[in-house]
Amino acid sequence: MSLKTDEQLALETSKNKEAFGELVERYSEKIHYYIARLIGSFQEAEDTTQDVFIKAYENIASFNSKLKFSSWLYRIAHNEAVNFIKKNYRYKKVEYNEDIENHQIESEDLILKIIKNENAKEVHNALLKLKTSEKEVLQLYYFEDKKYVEISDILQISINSVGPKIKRAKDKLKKIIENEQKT
Amino acid sequence: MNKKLNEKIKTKLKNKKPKPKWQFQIFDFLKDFGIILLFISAILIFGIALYLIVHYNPFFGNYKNSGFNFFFQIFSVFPWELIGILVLLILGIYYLIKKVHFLYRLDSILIIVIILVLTTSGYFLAETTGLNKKIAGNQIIREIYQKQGRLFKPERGPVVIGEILKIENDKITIQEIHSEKEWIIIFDEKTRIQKNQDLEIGKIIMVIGEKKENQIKARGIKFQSENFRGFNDFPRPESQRNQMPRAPKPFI
Repeated sequence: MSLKTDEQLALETSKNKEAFGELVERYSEKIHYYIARLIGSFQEAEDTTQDVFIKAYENIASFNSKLKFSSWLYRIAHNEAVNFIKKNYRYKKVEYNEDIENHQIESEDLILKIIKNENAKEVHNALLKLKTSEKEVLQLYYFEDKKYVEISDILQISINSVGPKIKRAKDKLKKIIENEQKT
Repeated sequence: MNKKLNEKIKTKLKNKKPKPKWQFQIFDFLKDFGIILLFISAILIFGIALYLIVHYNPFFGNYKNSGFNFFFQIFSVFPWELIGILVLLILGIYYLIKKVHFLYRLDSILIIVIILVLTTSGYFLAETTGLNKKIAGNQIIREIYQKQGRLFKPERGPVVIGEILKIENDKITIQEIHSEKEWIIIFDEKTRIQKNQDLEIGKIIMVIGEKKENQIKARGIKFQSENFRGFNDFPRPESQRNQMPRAPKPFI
């Protein structure tokens, strides 16, 4: 792997295809898990991930170097995942897949902190009950460890609205888990 | 698993080519051009709507004696369509601005406020430079003004504008300007007649009331207003053309 930044590699891509290959290696797994959590299917996320990289490659000339490459790529992943969900109309209610939860980036997992007594499986199932927009904002912040400005770039929402959205989604998730505990 | 996925992606990429940069540049240009175009349209519509509100709406003292309920007049003469178009234009600008790099990071309310401030500033700039005046003289814009004067459209509303031919105790005969049809206007002490004006043969009046065959039971009689835009555009008999007072040139 080269020491070049993602942005440098992205700018090189038009002349050198190998540069994009390196970006694929850096991000394919992250994007795959990101989409898998959103659409709830590990297998179908693989096809969507491939589409994401093909789209990114074809549209690499539109990449603005003032933006982080990862944010740009996640934006494409977001669009593809949302399109997939729209096409399939419903969430795939997949069985709990340990692989997905094991892939948590080693950041402070605040969701697990909030619901200390819960295990990852219950969190995963509760996440599936949230709306795409709610699930996504939690996922980007807690699982992908994105900053507010990056979330704003990925979801194309204002920076000021990111915090309240995270809070609302977190509260809703907490409620879902509490309700499930009661029943 | 991951290596397998990487290989799949790389294999698929072999047959693909990045799109040329000029395609995106054209798209960006169209986006910017669209924003400017929508802004200009919004400023124009805003100007027309503001003119209509100020010069036609009774809220600002116009047509006080027309005989209609004050609130009915306010809503009836209000340029709803233009306000609707203006809202759509602002939403269009908002949508396009959100697509411009990094501007989506701003709060939606802030973006809307910026759009409103720019539209209002643009309007006042057009007013100061005389652009509004020029635009208002345009035939299409004049037609919009006329259409907006709903209460004063002879063919749709209960309004007739005509020249006084004969005056009797409790009725007047007028000849409608655009159709030359004669109407007998019946009035009594309840009829609101514009103050400081006398009914005289040859004067042009606007009558508001209930039509029945060739009679109108007048609720209000108003003398032709100097502010009545586009009045001269109504087709009228040759004999009356020179007698008609000239309406002032449109202005915003």
